[in-house]
Amino acid sequence: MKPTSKWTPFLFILPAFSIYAFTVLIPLIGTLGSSFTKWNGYGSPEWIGFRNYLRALKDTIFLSSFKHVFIYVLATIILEVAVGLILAGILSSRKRTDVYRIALFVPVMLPMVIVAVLWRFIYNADFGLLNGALEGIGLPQFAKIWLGDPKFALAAICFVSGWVYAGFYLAIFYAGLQRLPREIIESASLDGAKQSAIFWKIKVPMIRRLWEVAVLICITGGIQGFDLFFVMTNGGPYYSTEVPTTYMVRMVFRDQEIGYGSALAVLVTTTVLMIGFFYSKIRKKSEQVEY
Amino acid sequence: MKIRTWLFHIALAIYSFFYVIPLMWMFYSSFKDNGKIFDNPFALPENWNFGVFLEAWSAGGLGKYILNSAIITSLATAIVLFVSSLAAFAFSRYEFALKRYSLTIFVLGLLLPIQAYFIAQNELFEFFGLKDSRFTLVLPYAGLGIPLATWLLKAYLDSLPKELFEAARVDGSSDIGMYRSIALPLLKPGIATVAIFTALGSWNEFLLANIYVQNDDYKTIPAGLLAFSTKYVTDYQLLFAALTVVTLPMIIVYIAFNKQVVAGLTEGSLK
Amino acid sequence: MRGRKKIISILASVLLGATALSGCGNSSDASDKIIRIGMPSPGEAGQKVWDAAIAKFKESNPEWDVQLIIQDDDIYSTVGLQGLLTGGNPPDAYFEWAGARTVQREADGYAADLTDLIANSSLKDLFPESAFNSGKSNGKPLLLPTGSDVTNVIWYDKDTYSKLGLSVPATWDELMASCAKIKAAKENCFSIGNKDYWVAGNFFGHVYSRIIGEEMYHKIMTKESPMNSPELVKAYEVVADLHKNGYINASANSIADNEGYTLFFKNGAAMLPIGSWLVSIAADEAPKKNIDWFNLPAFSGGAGDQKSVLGVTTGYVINAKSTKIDQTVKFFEIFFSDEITAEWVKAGAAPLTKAAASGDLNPLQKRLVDLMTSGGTIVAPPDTGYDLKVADALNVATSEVMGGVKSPQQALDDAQAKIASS
Repeated sequence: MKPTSKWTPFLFILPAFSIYAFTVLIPLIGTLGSSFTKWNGYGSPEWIGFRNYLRALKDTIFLSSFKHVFIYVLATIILEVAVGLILAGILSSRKRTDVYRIALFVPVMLPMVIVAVLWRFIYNADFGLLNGALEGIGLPQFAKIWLGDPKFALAAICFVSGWVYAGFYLAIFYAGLQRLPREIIESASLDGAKQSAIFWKIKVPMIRRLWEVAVLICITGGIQGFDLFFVMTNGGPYYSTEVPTTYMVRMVFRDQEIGYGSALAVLVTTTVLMIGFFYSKIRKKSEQVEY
Repeated sequence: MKIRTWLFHIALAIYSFFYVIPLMWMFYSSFKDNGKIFDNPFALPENWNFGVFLEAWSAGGLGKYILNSAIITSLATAIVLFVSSLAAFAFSRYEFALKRYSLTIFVLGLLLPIQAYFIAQNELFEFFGLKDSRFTLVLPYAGLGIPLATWLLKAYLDSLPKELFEAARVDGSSDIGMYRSIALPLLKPGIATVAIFTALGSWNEFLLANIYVQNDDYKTIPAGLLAFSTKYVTDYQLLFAALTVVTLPMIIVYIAFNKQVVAGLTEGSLK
Repeated sequence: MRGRKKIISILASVLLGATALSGCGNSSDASDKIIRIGMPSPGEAGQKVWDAAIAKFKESNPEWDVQLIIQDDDIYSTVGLQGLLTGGNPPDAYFEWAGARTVQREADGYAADLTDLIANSSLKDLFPESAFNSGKSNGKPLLLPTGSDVTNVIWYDKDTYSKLGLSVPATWDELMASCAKIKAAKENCFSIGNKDYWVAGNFFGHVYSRIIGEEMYHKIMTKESPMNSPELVKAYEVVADLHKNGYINASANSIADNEGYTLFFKNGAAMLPIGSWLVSIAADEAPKKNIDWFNLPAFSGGAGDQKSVLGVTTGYVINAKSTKIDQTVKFFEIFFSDEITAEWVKAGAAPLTKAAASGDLNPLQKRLVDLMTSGGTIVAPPDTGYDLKVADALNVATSEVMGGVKSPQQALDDAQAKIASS
């Protein structure tokens, strides 16, 4: 369609673009710029070239934070997306399952700080619910210092994340499954195929685009993870739950190393963009192979 | 067959029950005093003293946190809806120079992690003296919501038949007129989706809320609750009461409107 | 044409609105009659006293108002105050800890020399002479003191002690012997909530200064000597031994300070190393618990003053760049007046004004105040007296040795590497 004047489209886009530019684009460039400086936020920045990046590559805490966040992403793909998918399959095979979907979705609505404070109490080794329950049913040997033992802390946090978001992916996949054309599924069950076979071999492939997006959301969301980690452990114990975002926030807002924090931000962003890029490349390729 | 259905429902009921136990526990622990919370964590309270919620409300100043969250969320959502629908309209209906590039820049925001810009955004806001006010978070939250909103609304508009607009053009309608009288009404479901996404995101946002606003009077719910949890250091009963006061209305609203909320979120993802 | 005009007007209003909104709430005008005071959270009781002081000030200065800018404790002491001072609406006065921090404020130009301001106001009569000493730099008073907080003593459960026949230890070795008895009775000796690194950091910071001497401690904290100096490595053995003997709660590094208090209140440990602020918390949360405190016992062969006290004076600095210094001083004359001092005492604080000395302090609190003035060297805690990066490195090393994940040498080598690289 032709606009009344050639300026019209630009005027339509201008408000959104202005806000977006001010809050995202300009800071984006700013972050890149300050990554080459040493700056504490109130003096003048000092240009130091790539030194921040070299420091980052040798920074064991930063490198292990990457490892932790990838473990977290993998765990959440299983605990959130996969569990959500399976639950959607189970719930969509019966009627009157609304109440379960509502119940499982409730944690999604909560501010993370509430989830974190609540679960901190549950995991408390001295008087928390989990150890209390384990001792109550006669299994005290399983009572650990969940958030204090480097072996368990990260897993404990991943579990909480799964508790919160499984319901979200459940809802998405459920809606996706509901929209599938009935004929194919009905003819398959008339042919004598079992429910589980129908699910995995027919339904799941048919909602392929949906779970591809879901996995991507899970990955990009996971890498940005902050709220839960900050309130539950803030990187402890002994940096075993440090993730890039908590480390960055500490660098900038406690240690006042704006330049170094920015370099870390650039590295994390590049990683996310590369993942997104390769992900869409793989998707395109497999789509071509299929059809 | 019937037995299988019963088993199915029982199994799911147990699963869902254990799933929501933490929340139910938090709710009923507000009624127990601290000693009992520690000694008998699972026991039900003896007296249901609702006064503790009032105490949590006033001691924590929860009212101001909720007010701040409400103001910021509604403003950010309104702004996002307005500017994104305009932009989506242009991207969907017009061809113009640099369209592909500008669209890509917007869509980049979908993938861009918040780490990419929050540090410099903080510096920028400090430079302009925008931090630590009641309205500080409005623009950042709007910026967060614009990419998704624009993309979703564009997808909705793309699905509208172009004849609709051509006919209106023939009738002499102006651009803004078409936006107002044709696009907007038909976008209602899309607007509902975007509103829910933006509102939920703004209401629960934590990182920026903690960094940008230090003044206790202007904090939003997530930042306020964090401050509350560190201020009332050993009073778990009060803490749980405060958390319940904030959570329960949200849960009730969700249950009442759950069809719309879930429909909105899933429609968006399916597109 | 019509359409375009409409678009432009809509855009203009949106942009105007957005700018107006973000500017709103930031009433920045140096010529207004508002005194701004920055501080961390004063607590519920403290807030009431502030309100009373402000009300009284407004009675005699009806055109003026006082605005408190309250921030989270942790944020205030790191970036919060910095942001306030360099931001668009700097405070006219702000809370600070005496020592390196206040001296730095003066160096940056944010601390007014109070010599004349005190001499020409009622402030000189409200305080004893010595009160301003800890906040002095080069003989110039910079801080109006509101409290001398003992940052760490060892609180203990008197009932547990008497049940096991223990008495207050005079030396660290005696304390260790007591711990052995407590452990044999299947109880935790110490409850420490070290998630944020400062609880154990303060406790053991005091221990280190006793063993290696205050001078060496100061040299290490100011980077004059490396953190992995052999003297400090040897001092860390004390922490390693505590871990080896299991005298500290296993959850120490994962629970926050308040969870540490809860554990102690719940009779989960015999002792709790923490500061003077426990008095009011215990009064609220565990009124029936029979508790008392003793200062860190002496270390035989220790190079430091074995009667030293870990503490810091806190108070308010007047911003040298403020345009309302005279009014601010007027406010503080009221803030430190006898009437308001009495309110502070009622709220459980221990002010340093002359009026407070005759006030009705909680006995535990009174002994703590006496401890500060007892003559022992005042040692500054790592994170309020020194550069945060150095304090952080020290405290993290402490937590690692306390948790048994690193040896003292390893932990301190890593700490030194961290300081050297940044």
